[in-house]
Amino acid sequence: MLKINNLKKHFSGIKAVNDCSFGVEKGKITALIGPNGSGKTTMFNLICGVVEPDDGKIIFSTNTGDRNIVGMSVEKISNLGISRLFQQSRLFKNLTVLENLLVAEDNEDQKFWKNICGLNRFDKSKTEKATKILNDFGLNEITHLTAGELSFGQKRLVELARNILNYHTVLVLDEPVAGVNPKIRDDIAKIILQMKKDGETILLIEHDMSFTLGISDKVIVMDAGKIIVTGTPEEIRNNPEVLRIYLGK
Amino acid sequence: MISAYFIHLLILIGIYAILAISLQLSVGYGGLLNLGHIAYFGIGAYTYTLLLFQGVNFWICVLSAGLLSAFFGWMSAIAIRKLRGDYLSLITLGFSFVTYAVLINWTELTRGPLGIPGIPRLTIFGFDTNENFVYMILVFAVVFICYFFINRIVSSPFGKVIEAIRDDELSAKSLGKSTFRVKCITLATSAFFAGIAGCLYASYITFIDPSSFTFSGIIPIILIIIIGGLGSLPGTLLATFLIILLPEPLRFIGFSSSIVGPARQIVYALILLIILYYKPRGFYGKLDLE
Amino acid sequence: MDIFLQLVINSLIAGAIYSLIACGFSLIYSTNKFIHFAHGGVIVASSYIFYFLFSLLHLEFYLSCILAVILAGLVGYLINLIIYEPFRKRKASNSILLIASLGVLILLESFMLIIFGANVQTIDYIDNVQGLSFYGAIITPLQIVIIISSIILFVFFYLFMKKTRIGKAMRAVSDNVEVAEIVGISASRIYSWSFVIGSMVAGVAAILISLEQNIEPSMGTGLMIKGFTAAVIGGLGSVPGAILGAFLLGFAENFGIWYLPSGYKDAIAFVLLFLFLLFRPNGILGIKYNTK
Repeated sequence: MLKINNLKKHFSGIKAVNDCSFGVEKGKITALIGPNGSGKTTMFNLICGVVEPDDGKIIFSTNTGDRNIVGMSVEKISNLGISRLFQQSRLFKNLTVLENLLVAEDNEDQKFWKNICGLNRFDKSKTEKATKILNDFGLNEITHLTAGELSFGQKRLVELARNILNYHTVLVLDEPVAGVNPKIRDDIAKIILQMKKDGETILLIEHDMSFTLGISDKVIVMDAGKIIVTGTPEEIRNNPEVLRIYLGK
Repeated sequence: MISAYFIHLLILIGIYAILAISLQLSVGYGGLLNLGHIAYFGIGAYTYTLLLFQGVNFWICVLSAGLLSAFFGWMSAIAIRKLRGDYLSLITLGFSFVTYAVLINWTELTRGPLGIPGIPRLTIFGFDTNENFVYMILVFAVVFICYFFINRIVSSPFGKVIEAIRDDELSAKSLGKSTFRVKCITLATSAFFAGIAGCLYASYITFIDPSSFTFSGIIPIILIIIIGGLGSLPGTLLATFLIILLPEPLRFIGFSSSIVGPARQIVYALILLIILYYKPRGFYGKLDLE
Repeated sequence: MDIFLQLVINSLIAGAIYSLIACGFSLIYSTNKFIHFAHGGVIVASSYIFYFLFSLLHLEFYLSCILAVILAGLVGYLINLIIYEPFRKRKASNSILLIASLGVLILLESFMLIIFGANVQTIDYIDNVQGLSFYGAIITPLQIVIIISSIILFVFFYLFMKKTRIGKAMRAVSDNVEVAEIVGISASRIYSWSFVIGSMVAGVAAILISLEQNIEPSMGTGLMIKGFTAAVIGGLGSVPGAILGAFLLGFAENFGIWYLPSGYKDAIAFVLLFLFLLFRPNGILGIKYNTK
């Protein structure tokens, strides 16, 4: 689905991502873990086109065949089918929850004249789609609140909903449960597992080890820009190298 | 019958309302701090006048004035393609200054500081606009069209994308929006209406010179959109009345005319600072300027 | 050849003046992180202060210069204290500060207009001196003074930034305010200092401008635009870049009007600004933090 080949990115001497290669399989949850500063978020920024790599390839299987997405703009990559949840909350804070979701639904809203002539509106089918997912997430009561007023946990849920509504074939989630309370954490775990059942492909960064190992199919451990181990959650749990990285020497 | 002075003020209010509503689109909705509005206004006025004197059809004059202004609005978005919002203020402020300099210096075309007198008012749809009352109706009609059009934009899905980009551009991009294109359209539309306002101004005053389009003219317009509240079109209309009528008493105090101009500027600048400090959201604003 | 040399001299003089403006602007921007448009207003005010002291009060020339520079610093200090500081306390965003600075620019220009009138004022000091002929090009003693004094100022400025505690603190704040505050630097003191220093440099520029050209209340915006054009060309927020950009601008303008009528000087500056934003948005020195 997504193949990372020999990806490299240096920031003024620091090797944030140093010759990394891995793959994300269709219909599976792949997790990227590692201590702070190990290069996970940089990896996501490279995949989503926010940062351009110094070297390497990112091959993405779209319905028109495999494409190297290195050097493409953020919006192009998104439209090819990668939907990203950011580490910090990045909702449109002056729009309502519903509007946040509606913006994500399609790209018809970019056609100026079509919109002026009233040929593209937030009609029933669009609103229903958004309302349905809000209901599924238990957010039906906050539909018309401004996004800026929400609690942190609610923001994360709304963002996740927005990512799911946005056209995608792969979901790229950067710490979806960091900083949320245990209840929402469990909600999000359920949502992610349900998505997997529905056949979604997910790439995940997470700090919370038990959460990550509990839901993922394949785990990649990064440290200091390099991939140390790749394996199933079982293998990772028993790997001395991983324990060393996480618990210190 | 309404007095002539009152009609004059209403016409000015109408012209400023168009400027303010269109600036609201880029600043309030788009979060694009565009300081070049006065330049687009001037470009519109000059384009209209010069084409009209060439014997070009009235409607083509108006359309060209709007489109040329829109072109420059588009260009300013291109200049900041890869940059933060700050730079838009720099480039648009620079643009309004250089527009003034060009209007002054390109004497073969603009007659420089002498200005262009004798701009005729035309008969439109059988109405003779030489009558100020009729002209007022014309201005109000354009205000209505402008309000309707911009309201249409901001309440459409396209408008939500404009607002989404204001709130978080990277986030909008990662939802697949080509934010650059949307910003271009926003600034161009905003500039288009400023150009139309320029046509109305030129034809109303029947005389234009560069001094009507100095950069300090942006202050009252910015003041209007902040007092009205960013992202509020009705607030903008209301604030236009307030701000245009406010310095009128200065006229009657009996200052010499060389004092009235700067005194009005001082009044506007002071109110701007006070409003920014005490009520940065204005009357109907729902959001803060970031 | 004569014309060429003359143009080089003119470019250097323009560059020297622009670089003083750009320097102050860049210093204030690098610490405060918002665009201080009123910098142009400070220049106008300082020019008129100098005009007032020297031509109207008939104070001694050097005394007038020193007083004008000190008062320029005071104007900068007061603008920060009365206008910007309260805004910062309210956590106003940089855009609010930017608009406020526009208001201050208009206030300063309008006050000068009311007090001194719209007429152009001239300060005759070293005027009417025969220019020195230099391989066929003419350079007046005043122009030599301009170039020399700006060079001296740059050296001082450089030493100030590198060697003094305040200079180092300024650089720390411009790198990262939070970190600077953690190590015990008071950001609000540094903001205030950068306004004082930046405005004093603007004061020097104002004196040189009043001696070299005429002064009028509306010149602030134009000078301001030259200042920030130079700063952007050099890489916004970098003082050495600003100096480099200023000379580039000086050369572009003066060689540009070889072909174009002199009224288009401002247009040349703008076209240069536009081209740089388009093709080299991080400036000549290419410092990366300007992009998102």
